[in-house]
Amino acid sequence: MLLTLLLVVSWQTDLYANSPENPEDGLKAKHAFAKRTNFFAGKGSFREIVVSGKITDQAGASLPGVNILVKGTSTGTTSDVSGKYTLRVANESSVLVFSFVGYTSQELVVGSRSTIDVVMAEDARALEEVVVIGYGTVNKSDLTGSVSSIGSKEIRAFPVQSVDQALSSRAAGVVVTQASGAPGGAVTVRVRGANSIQAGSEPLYVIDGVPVYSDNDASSSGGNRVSSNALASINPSDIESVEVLKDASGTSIYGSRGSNGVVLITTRRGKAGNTKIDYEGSHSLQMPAKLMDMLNATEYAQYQNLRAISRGQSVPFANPAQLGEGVNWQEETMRTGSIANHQLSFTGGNERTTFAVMGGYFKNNGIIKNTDFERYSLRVNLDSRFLNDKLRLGVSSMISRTGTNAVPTDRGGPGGAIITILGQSPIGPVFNPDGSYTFEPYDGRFLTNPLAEVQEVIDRDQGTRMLGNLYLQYQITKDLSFKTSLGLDLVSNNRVTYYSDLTRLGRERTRSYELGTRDITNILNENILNYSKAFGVHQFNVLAGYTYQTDNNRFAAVQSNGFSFNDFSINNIQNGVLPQIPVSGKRQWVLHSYLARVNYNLMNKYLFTFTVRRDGSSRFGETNKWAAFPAVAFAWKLSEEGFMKNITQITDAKFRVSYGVTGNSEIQVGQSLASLGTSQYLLNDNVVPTVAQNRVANPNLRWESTAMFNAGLDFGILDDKVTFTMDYFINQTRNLLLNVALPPSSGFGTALQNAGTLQNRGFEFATNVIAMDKKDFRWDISANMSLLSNKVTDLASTPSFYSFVGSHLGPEGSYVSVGQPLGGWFGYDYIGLWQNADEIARNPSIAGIDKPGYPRYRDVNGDGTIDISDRTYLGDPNPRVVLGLNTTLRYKGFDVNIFVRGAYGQKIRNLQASEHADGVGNYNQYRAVLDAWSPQNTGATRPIIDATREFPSFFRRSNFFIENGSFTRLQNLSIGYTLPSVKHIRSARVYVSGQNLFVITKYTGFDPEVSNGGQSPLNRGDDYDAYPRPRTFTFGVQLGF
Amino acid sequence: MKNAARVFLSAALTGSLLLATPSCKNLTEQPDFASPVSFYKTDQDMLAAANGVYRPFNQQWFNTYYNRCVFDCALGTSTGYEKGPQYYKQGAYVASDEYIQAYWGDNYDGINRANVVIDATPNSSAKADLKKRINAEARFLRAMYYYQLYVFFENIPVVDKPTRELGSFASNEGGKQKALDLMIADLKVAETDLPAAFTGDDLGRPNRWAAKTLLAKVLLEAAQWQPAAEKAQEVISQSGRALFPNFNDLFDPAMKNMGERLFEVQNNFVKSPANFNNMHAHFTPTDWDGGDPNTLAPGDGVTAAGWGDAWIVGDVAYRAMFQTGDRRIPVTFMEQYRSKNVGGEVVRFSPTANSPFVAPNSAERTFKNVIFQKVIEYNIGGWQNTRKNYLLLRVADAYLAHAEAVSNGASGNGLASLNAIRQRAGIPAMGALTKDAVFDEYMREYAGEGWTFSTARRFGRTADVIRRFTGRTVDNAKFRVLPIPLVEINANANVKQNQGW
Repeated sequence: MLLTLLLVVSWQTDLYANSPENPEDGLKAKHAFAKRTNFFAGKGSFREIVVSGKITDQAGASLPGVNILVKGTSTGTTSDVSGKYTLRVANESSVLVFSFVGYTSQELVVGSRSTIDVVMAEDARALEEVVVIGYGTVNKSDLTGSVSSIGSKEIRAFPVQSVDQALSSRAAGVVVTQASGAPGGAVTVRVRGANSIQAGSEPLYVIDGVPVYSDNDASSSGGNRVSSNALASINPSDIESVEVLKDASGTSIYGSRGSNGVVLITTRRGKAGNTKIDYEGSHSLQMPAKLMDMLNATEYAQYQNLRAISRGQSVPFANPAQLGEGVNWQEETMRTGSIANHQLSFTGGNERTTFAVMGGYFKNNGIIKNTDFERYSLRVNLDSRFLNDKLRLGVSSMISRTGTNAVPTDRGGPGGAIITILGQSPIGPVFNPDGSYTFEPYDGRFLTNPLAEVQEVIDRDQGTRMLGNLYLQYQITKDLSFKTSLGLDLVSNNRVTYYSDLTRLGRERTRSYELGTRDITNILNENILNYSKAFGVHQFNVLAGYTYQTDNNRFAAVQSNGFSFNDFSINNIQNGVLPQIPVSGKRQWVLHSYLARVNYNLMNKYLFTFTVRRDGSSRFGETNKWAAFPAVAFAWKLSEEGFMKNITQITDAKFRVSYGVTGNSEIQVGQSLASLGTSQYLLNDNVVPTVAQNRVANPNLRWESTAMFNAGLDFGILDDKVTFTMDYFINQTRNLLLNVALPPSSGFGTALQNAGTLQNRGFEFATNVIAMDKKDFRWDISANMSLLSNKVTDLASTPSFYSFVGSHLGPEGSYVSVGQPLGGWFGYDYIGLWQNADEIARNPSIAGIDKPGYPRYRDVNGDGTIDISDRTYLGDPNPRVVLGLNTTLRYKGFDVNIFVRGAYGQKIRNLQASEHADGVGNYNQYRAVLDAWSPQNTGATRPIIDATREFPSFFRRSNFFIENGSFTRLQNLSIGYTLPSVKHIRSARVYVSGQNLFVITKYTGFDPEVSNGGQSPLNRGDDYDAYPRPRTFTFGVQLGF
Repeated sequence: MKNAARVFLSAALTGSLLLATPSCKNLTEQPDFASPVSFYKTDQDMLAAANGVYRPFNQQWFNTYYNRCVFDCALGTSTGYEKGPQYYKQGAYVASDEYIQAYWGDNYDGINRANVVIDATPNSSAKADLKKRINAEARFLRAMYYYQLYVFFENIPVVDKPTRELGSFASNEGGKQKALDLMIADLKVAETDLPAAFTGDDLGRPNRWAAKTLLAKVLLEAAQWQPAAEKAQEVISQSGRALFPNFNDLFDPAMKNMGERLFEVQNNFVKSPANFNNMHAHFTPTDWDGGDPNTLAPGDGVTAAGWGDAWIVGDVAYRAMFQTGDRRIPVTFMEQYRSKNVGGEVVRFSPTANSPFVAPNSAERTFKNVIFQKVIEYNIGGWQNTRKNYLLLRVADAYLAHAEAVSNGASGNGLASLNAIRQRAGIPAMGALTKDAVFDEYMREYAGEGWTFSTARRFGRTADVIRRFTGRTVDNAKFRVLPIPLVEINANANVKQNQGW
């Protein structure tokens, strides 16, 4: 790939150096020729006037390639690379027409002027904007499907570490959840909800034509935390536009991978003209948006005294007040974080060859000490035409290097950094008088120091990614072209983890050293024929192709314990005397596809799209390797009809409808085959290998298929000053890939089978309003809203089940049950506190457990007792409504942007509170527990503080800890000033902005946007050990040369 | 020059694209695991498969030993801080319970593995004597797994063929008798075909005495008192394996697989991290300094796992079943240790202590927790570094089986067998053999080993024991067995739930 790139570059350089067609010379020659032809064309007129001038855009940049035509004649020219033109016209009354794609055409009378400089305004009617769809582009007005576009302005509005973060609330129907607030942390994206239960539910990303499924776990090199965000290796600043394909009209062309939506990422490419140099830089400061209010040392001692009394023990702290405030571990372990973001790009080229070279540096120091994320990236995009423009060659290539320093958070298990920070005794101190760390037992068990757990852990990821695509396109005839491309995605990640004896694990394992590596090679070849032809009112665009993609993914990790030296830098893995069992794995898949699409435009009123893709995948059972995914779509441009022409307020109106089937194949490889697992056993204290079958073959295994129906309306009114789009959809997923429970008497727990259906239904609304457009003042408003409801409609023979959740707390994972939304929780319905023994005796209670001050639950089945059969639906983490509201005001050089987003109707399960506000445990508590029940405080909001009170089986499994997760967030507020352009500086803007300035929510944890489940459709909306979300203040400059 | 460059480049590009295009459309999976189809051929294959049958005894955190100890909590003889022991003590367990599901699944995993080996052995190319031994070994292990299931659930589905496809699953109609029949048949093969002793690198495999002891216990379950007594007597008088004089040797890692110890699950974390004794973690008191409670020398400070306040502890009334001077007491219970909560001072068990354990900075020096310590290890430098095995069968089983069979009417000197156990424990001999005396001896001999629940069931004493230790009155017919896990009932229409559940 790189070799080819170098070849292309050197070839082009060669051309520049040796060819008589040196671009400068070539252009000059052409210009001279244009002058000559115009001269001849003008000959015969008697009062010729020579008009010249310069054409610029609104930012003052010269515009090459603008068409200038003398109205009513065929005389004309185009502006040169510096935007200049010269033209002879017949007389003073001649009218010049200036036109350029994407800009409003202008007509000017020549009059007495010989110099006419023109500022071209961007076309407010963005309708003719070209939208990228799979394997091609269409004019926005000709779209038949539901597609949301997000431009580079939105993506670069404020610093984000990855493109998925930038999509948040920018497009209707796209829900982005930051699963971890850690630098480089996981983000999950749902397009129109989760269409799967156990297979992947992330959308397919297509980056400059290369389909990539962003599976964080499958890209990670392991570690004691949630896998980092695989997409963070792609620099968001390189991106020109993002298109989200939401319905079958768009996604069917991606066949077995389209059912979770497709996100098309197009990076910036060069344009002919002077080389533009752009620099963007910003620096941000980050601080925790919220700290949890924990008991101070005095209150903690009082709490421990109450616990001791409840167990009949003597009081451990005779004088709590003496302890004072103690240590605030959150303040000890957190810091002011920062983001440094520098992006430099060079774009330009001539009419034959254009280029874009972009370099970026991004560094985020997280708000928890010893956590950071860093990325260096370089992108080279080239396009070149030759052989009389019949052959086109291009390359998109990126290389990036990322580095992450992490601490254990977001893992939902004991020993997590946040759990320890919140729960450690606040009595302190942090350090001994000699400066060494103090180690106190956490929960009376593990000696630990939260600051040491954060500061002394070494957990470094380093990743290198090369992602590129090389294409060759040949124009066989005027209407027919062939394009072949070779895409490559190479990922190499490695991890070093070291626990010294200043950390709990390090002491437990006598120091521990781990190494992990991941190596991915993904190769894509696509061969596409494209045919476009108009016959009268019939216009066809036909596409057919064959593609092949294969992925080879290898992982290995080793761990060794028992090191003699504490200093990491002098240890090698072989120095540990207790080597652990190493692990490695590989997965490999192959996908062959045939695809075809016909776009048929009748009278520019009726648009039809027919799509089919036939995929053959190695991942499925012998009998189901191949399947086809068809879709049809129809759009009716109402505004082109005669009866609409009189309604002048309506500029555009279009009705769209589509139906089709797409698939999901995101399961691990090899799942259709019976397999042997190996382990080891001991005989006479010697290790012996063991082999046993661990899976039953399922030769019928196949993909999930999602039938998608979409109906939409696009309107533009008042000369398109107001545009809006509405969509209604129903997605029905069949043959769900489920780990169906087998009777354990078979010797096996589950088998991956196709069973069950689920449904997503929703409504989306998006609008753009130009509220004001005066010379010096412009006000834009855009808003989007999505409504979604999700339901499991059938699970075949599989009984309802709790998904596994890796937590020691006791509560089970999501309850998957027919008729309920995916991800809902089942448990006990808390209805208050018991006040006295008489009340307990007269009402349904938990036999032998309940006492005054204990929580009381609803007798759901009415059998007079509270037991495990009283569990009921308690809510789910899926928002019913998601909103995004963005408004920009521009006055002269000033601009103000406000971006507000919100999600409503979802619940969050505050597992953090179920531990640190249980009023039972031997660890620090939220200050809220001070309002605990006691015979003197019977109106309390919390159960009695009692170390013997039941908490794991009922209390933590109740909705006492399920909270309203609705929120409205001020995502971004920025104020910028664009300086008047001066020589050599094309444009300059400075700005200050704030992100996450406030959140309006009733949620009591760090932040309601949280999900311990990572990318899984299950176990979402759990808040445990979550890295707190920062508030960010940014100062930045944007310069163009 | 220019044209040459173009031609060359075009050729190079086209070439590279063609290379990427596959010549065939092979969609066969390239898995990173082995297929059963090509396995089970050689000596090595069959040995590895046979070794795999042992794994399900101890293959997950909630392993079969742990789950049996949780089930014991249902009688109230023990309880704990962890949620399972807590709600078993409350009698709140149900068919969807995770411990029952894990226990059931692990045992059937073992059964299926044994079925695969028994099925594949005749067709393998292994040597004839190895085939014979492996077949017997797998049949012993299948019987052991069935025994572990039978004594908790009784009416279980009986599967004796490997599961090869999804679809048809076994019924539990008449399962009780079918299970007994299969166990007896398997053990009859095992007692004949297994060697009298394994040595060297095979130490740890079950020998024929293990098979005979288990057979005696199965015959007790079948109420075949006379055959049971005879089989037990055969072990006592012909095995050449006497009771260890020192009860502690049963749990001493230095005595693994020797003498009285007939069959055990092998553990040694340092040799194989996949095979370790996590019961150490479940039983250790949090504040213990890791030192030897017999010498009370200061410990290494890192040996206690300290999950909660100790995950499973005995009931004070259960501890009271032991007579003063019973030599099993210091082996069974940790009754004094140095506590990290009070600066390494010694704390002692007292049934009348104020609280379960001595809290940090407390002025008290006594605790009420009854700490089982048969699988606890001292000063091992980290709670995982365990070496103790899980003992499943010992010669003492034959003595008590003999006593039990005779107390039910079989002929023989059952009293002598009972008194042999009592003599080792250093407690006075009984004058007469009664079922109650045998039952109480089982309760003491196996305390903290996870067999209390199943013994109470066989003696028909479940409701009595629950009343005695928890004060709750329950229906014996229901509570004598556990419910069959819901996951089995849901996924297998051929299995009927146990009575009352």
